[in-house]
Amino acid sequence: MKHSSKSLRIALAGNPNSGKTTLFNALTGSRARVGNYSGVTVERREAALIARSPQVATAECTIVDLPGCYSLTARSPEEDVAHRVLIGEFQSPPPDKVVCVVDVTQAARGLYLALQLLELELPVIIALNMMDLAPKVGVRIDAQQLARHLGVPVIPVSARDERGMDTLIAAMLQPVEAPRPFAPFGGPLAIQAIQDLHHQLAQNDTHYPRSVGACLWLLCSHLETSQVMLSPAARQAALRAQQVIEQQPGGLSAFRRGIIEARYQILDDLLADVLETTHQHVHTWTERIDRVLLHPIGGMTVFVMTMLVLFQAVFAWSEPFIELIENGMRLTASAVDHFLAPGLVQSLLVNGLLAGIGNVLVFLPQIALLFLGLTLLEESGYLSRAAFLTDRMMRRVGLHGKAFIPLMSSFACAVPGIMAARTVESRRDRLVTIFIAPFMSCSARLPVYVLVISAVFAAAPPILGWISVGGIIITAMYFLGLVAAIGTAWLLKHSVLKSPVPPLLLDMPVYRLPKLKHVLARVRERCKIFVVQTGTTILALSVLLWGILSFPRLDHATPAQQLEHSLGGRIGHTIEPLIQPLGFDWHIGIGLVASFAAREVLVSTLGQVYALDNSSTDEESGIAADSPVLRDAILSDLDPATGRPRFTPLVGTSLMVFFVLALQCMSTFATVKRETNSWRWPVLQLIYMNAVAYLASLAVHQIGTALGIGT
Amino acid sequence: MTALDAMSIGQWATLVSVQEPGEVGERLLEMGFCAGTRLRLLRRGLFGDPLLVYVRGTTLSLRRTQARMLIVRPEKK
Repeated sequence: MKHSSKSLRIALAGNPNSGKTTLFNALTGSRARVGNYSGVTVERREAALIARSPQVATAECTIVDLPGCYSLTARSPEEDVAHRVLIGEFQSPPPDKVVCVVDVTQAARGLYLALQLLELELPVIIALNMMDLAPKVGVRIDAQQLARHLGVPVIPVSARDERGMDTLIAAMLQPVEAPRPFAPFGGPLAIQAIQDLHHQLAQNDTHYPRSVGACLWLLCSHLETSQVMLSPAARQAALRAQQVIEQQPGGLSAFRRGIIEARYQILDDLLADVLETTHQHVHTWTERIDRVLLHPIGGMTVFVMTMLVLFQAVFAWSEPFIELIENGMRLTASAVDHFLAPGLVQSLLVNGLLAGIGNVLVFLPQIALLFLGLTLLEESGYLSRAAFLTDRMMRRVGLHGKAFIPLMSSFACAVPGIMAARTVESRRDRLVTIFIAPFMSCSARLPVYVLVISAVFAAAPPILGWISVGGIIITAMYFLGLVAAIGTAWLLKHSVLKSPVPPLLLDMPVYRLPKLKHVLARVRERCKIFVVQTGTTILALSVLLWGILSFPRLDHATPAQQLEHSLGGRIGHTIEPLIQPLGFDWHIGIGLVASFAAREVLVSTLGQVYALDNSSTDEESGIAADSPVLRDAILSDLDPATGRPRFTPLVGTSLMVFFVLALQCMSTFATVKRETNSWRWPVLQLIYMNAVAYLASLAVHQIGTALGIGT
Repeated sequence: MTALDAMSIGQWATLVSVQEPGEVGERLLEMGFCAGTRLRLLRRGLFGDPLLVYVRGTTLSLRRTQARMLIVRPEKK
C-alpha cells in the first residue's frame, strides 16, 4: 500500500539509553549529518529516512534526532535544545510529528517525557523499544490499551534487531492529524493558573503556542535563563502568572513539584492498567555480573585491567597504523618532490598541505581505537559501572566519574581524549574535563623529555644504585601535569564554571552484548566528524604555521638560515628577552613557535636551528631525540661569560616544565574548538596554560639560579 | 522513617519526601523519586558512596549527599 508523498520532518525524542540512537540509525542507515545547534555545544543530528523494503514507500522524510533527555524542563542544555526544536526554533519549523522512544522496561520514566510531548499537543507516536528485553526482565505491556488511553499510536519495536520498523514507518507516514487537546491537570490551583495564562496568551499574543504544555513551560521555567524566543507580551503574561503562583504557600517551587508529582500520578494510574511486572528486581544476569563488577575489590580489579587494556590499545596498538600513515605521507611527499621543481609551490604542497593532511590523518588510529573501546564499554553497559567505581575518587578532585576514561586517554593523546569527553553528561563537568585534558602528559611530550635527559642528565648516576635519574624525571613530569590538572579543575569549579553540583544520577542499564554493526557505525561517525570538522581547522593552522616558518624567503639558503630569516625565526629572536628569565634563548624560541604544530617537532626544529647538516640525520625518520649529534650541537653552544654550555640541567628542567604545562599543540586547540563549538574556550585554554607554563618555568629557573642548583 | 543512605542493603522502602531543595530536588522527582514510590537499596560503593538504587524499573546511582535528602519508610523484611 503506497502512501502519499509529502516532505515530512519527524523528531525523535527519548531518554538517554532508551535505544533512540539505535532506532535513528536503523531508520536512516547511519548516514546522519552531524553539526551543532548554533550557540550551544549540543550536537545536531539529522538524516533522511531510508527505504527499507519495496512494500513501504518512503516519502521525503527527514528525521531529527533530538538530544536524549528525561524531561523538557530545560535543566540541561540538551533539554533546552530539545524543547526549542519542538516549538520551532533553530531556523526550522516545528516537526510535523514526534516519535517518542520509550524503553518498555523503564516505562514510567520514558512515558514521563511522552506525557510532556502530549501536553505540547504535538502529534506523537510512541515507539515501545526493547521489546526483546521485556520478557527477560518479566515485563508485559498491553500496547493497544496504552494507545487507547493516550490516544496515540503505540508501536512495539526492537531497534537492536530492527523489528517492528515497518509498522513504525507506516505510522510515521500517515497523514498528520489535528492534535488532540490535552486537559489541564495538577489540582485546582494549577488548572486555574494554566487556564488564566492560556486566556492571556490568546488575547495578547498570537505567536506563542498555547497548549497546556506551553503554558506549563512558561509557568515553571526560569524565564531569565532560558534562551527560548518570547515576545514581550508572552513574557509579561508569564511573569505575572508566576508572581501570582509565588504568592501561594510554597511558591513556584511547590507548584513545580506538584506538577511533576501529578504527572507521575497520571502515569501510575495508566501503567497499573497496562503494565505487568512479574519480577520486582533487576535482570538476573545483570545482578549476577554486578555482584563481581561492582564489588569493591573484584570490581576494582576488573576495572583496572579493563583500563589497562584500553590504554594499551590507544597508546601502543595504534603505533603500527600511525607508522603506516606516516610512511604513506612520506611516499606521497617524495612523489610530489619528484614531479615538481624545488621552489615555493613544491614547498607549499609538500611541507604545507601534505604535512597538514598528514597531521590530521595521523590521529585517526588513536581516535578509532579509543572510540571502539569506549563504544563497546558504553553499549555493553559497563561504562556506568566504571563511572560508579571511580566517582568518589574523581569527585574528591572535583571531577565526574565519567571523566576518568577521557582523562586517562589523554595520557596517550589529548585529541581523542577530548573527543571522548562527550560521555560526561553535565555541561559544566564536560568543560572542566576538556579544559584540563591537555595537562595529562601526552606521548608527544616524551621526545622532549628524552631530549633533555640525554643532553644533560644522561651522565647522572642511578639513585639507590638502580633507579635511573631519567625515569624519575619523567615520572615527576607526569605528576606535575596531574597536579596542574587537579589544581585547574578546582580553580574552574570555584570561579568561571561555578554552579551547583548536579546530582550523580547514573543510569545502570542492563548488560547487553554490543552489536558490532552499531559499534563500527559509531566509530566511523566520530572519525568522519574529526576529519571533516576538526581536520579542516588543523589543516588551516598547518598551512599558516608553514607560512610563518617559510616567509620571507631567502635565496640559496640552508634550511637553518631560511628558518632564522622567516617570520617564525624573527619571532623566536624577538621573544628572546621574554624567555631569557626562563633560561631559554632564541634557538629554543624558534623551537617553541614551530612546535605549536606538534610538540615532538621541537626535536627536529632544534636539529635545524643548530644547523645540523643532513648527513647527520637519518632521511627516513628524521633526527632522534636522543641523538648524540644533536646533543653535542646543543651543548656546544657556550655562554661566553662562563665558558660552559648555555643548556644546563636547570635550563633543561625549565624546558621540560614548560612543555608539561603549555598548550603546544594546534590539533588539541582545533579539537577543543570543535567540541565546545566556540573559539572562546580554546583561546582561554591557550592563554591560561601558556601563562601557567611561563610562570612555572620562570620559578624553576630563577629559584634554581638563586640556589645555584643545576647550573 | 529514615534517610535513604541509612537503609540496609537489599531493603525495600517507600519514599516519604524529598528534602533536597531547588533544582536538584526537582530533578530527583522527575527521575521518579516521588512520594509513595517504592524503591530498593541495591548496593553501596566503597566508603558508602555512591549508592545503587532501584526505582520504577530503573537502576540508578545516587551520591550520598543526595541520598541523605531522601526520607523513606523502610518495609519490614
